[in-house]
Amino acid sequence: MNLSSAVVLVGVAADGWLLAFMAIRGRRPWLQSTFAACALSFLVVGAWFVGRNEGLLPPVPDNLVLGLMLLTHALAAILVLGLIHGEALPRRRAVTFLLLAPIPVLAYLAPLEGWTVATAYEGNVLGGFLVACLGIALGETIYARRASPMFATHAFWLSVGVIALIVAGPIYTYELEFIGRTPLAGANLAAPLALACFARVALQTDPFPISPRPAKGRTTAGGIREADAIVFDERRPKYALRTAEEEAASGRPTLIVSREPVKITTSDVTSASFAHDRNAALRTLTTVSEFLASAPGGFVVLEDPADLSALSGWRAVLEIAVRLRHVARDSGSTVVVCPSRLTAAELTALKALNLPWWPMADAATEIIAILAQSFGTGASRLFDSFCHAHGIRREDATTDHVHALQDFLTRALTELSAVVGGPAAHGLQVQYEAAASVLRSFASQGAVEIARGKWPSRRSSETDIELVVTAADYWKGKEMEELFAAADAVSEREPLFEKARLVFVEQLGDAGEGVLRTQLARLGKRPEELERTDLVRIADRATVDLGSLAEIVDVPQEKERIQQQIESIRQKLELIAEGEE
Amino acid sequence: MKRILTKMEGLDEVLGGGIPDGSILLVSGAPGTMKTSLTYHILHANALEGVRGLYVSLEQSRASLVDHTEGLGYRLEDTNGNLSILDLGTLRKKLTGPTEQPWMDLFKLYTQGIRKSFDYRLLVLDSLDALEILAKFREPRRDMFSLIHWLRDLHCTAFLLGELPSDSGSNGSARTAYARHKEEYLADGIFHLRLARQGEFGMQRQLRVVKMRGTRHETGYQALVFDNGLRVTRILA
Repeated sequence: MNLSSAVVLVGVAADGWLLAFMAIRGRRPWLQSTFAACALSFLVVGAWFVGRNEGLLPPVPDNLVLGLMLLTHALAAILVLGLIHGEALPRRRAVTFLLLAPIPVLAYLAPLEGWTVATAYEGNVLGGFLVACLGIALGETIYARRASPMFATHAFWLSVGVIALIVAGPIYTYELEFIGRTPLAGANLAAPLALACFARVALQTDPFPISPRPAKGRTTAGGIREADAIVFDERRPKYALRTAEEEAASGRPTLIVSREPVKITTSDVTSASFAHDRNAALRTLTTVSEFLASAPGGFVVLEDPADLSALSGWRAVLEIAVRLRHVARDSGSTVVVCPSRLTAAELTALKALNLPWWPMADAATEIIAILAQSFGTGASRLFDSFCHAHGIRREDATTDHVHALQDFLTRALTELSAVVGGPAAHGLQVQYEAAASVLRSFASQGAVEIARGKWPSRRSSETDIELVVTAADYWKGKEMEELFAAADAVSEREPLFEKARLVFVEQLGDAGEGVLRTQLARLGKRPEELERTDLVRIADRATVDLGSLAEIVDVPQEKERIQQQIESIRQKLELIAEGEE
Repeated sequence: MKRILTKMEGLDEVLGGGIPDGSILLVSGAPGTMKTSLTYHILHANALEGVRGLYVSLEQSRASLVDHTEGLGYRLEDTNGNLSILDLGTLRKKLTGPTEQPWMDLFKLYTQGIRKSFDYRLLVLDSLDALEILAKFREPRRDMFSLIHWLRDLHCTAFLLGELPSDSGSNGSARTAYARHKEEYLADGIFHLRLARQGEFGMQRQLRVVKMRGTRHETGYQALVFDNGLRVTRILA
């Protein structure tokens, strides 16, 4: 075996290995297919070259080999452009696919025109086409390097691959012709190097794994119709996540990209958590692009740009914000960017992009503002007692806690009514009801309403002010201090029943306590007699006993949601029971 | 003003073009006056057009309701999932125990929860009286006020079915009360249904739009006829 054949044979083996590697490791089927086709065509041309040189193959028609050679060049160009543009290639550079069109014609003309593999790069139509393919690929890598700082490194490696193909293709063939060794022409010696460069870029820009995969063909519009990238300006991404849940529940394909795995329990929400590498920003972009390409009209939340900034640099984050906007507009989708934890300078730079900017209220601030309308300056203390009772920090409070807060205040008022009676207790009750009504109204507002600025803290002077003043006049005095003391007492005392009750109330709202009491009654127990074994028994039977809560609903998503709530109750009761051991 | 069409021949004309969207309506009448059929017709007809509706039944089971309405030609399958029936009647049977269930809270839990995945625009509560009994209203007027206030926050058009005594308004005299706890003052609209004597032996179902805020409607009784679907016509002397 001569040296040339040996080198090409090693290359063929490398091509095969890269093909298998990409098939196993890649996450973009379309790109993997293009890579496989390109690698396979290089591999077959290489194998033909070795077989011919070593006399292992019967003579193969020249136009067949030329056809394969043309295919390698056209596919290499499409692959390079696919790596740069991803799923957007058919939209942005659809003309690239026309490179496949002349291949059968040129292969057919080859014997008529006297074109051979050895003279493929000569100054004729065939040579022009081959050089044009490599030229287009090289030109696009140079453009990508200049246009996208985030993609610059990858564009460099793509350039290396394409230049290697040029050197080992046209240039090497001219040299062989110059020294009169044309029989050695045919296989591109740099194919493994080029494929390795392409595979490197493909893997480094691969999307993050997402789960579960969105169902195909779901196109429900959802509540937010804007086909754009929107910034939800909030300290923590609470409304962004809540909106994602709502959009998913309405049947819209929804993806959350975050640093940590998403804690949302709704199975309809697809999630991806980004890996800690410096390509995280680019991979986030490809993740979102791939998702929206397969689910146009979808809803995406980018939860942690601050972390992306730490991993890939702030310029990369700004670039993906701009590019996500294009992706959203192209696919009729909504992308929500959460700027929590960004620095002031980063926020200013993000604002300069002129993305739609939706200010979101902070739940804790608004809840305190609502409570202040009824309970004055003691609102903050009441809310702190509630947070203490539930083991949450103020900043962790969301509108989901409103039910539990109402329940907490009711218990505090009940305890207080045992001490103070008459008009004072009635006055407190009236004020509580006024606050509860505004709390419910606030909690029911979605991101769209909140973005319009309907915040209790902003319009506290407008809402139910007459009712508040009238009620306050009822009982000005020391009872308020007693209410705070009662709230503190409630927060300190956490018997087993209270814990179980909170679990039920958290999942089923005000109805939860009644459902728990029914379960207790079935066991023949009173609340104060509740024991760990009872909780275990309630948990064991929850799926059956509480199953009827889901059975009476004929909306599949709602049925599933209630089943999840029941499962959540079951798991939390088990945890409480274990904690009491 | 956006209006919800009842899609019932003659009724939209009586209503001056439909029911203002977001209204709370009281549908009151004696047993057998087709309160259920009337409201189910409105839900079914709108569901066929893609407007989602939720029927909350506290008395009749889902199977019984579907059986009854399909007998009238309202096939649930035709609505393509735009009409949902919440069978609280069955839950009532299954959750019986020594302790009372907070039915008002359960009603709110479901109607609010379902909204998240099934954005209904029409709601029927069948019936207000059953909810009052189950939820054990301690201060009925105050509790009714609170319920209607809560329903308004749902921002959907709600029909509350209320029972009246069998002989109410059937003798030709005009009724002045259409509910037990003055909820007619709280509701935006009232449909009164009655069985009126016709001739020596006959009875005729009749409907009157007593009140409909924000619309110019006819105020007299109309005949409610069922033949190949419900329709409203003038009463022929």
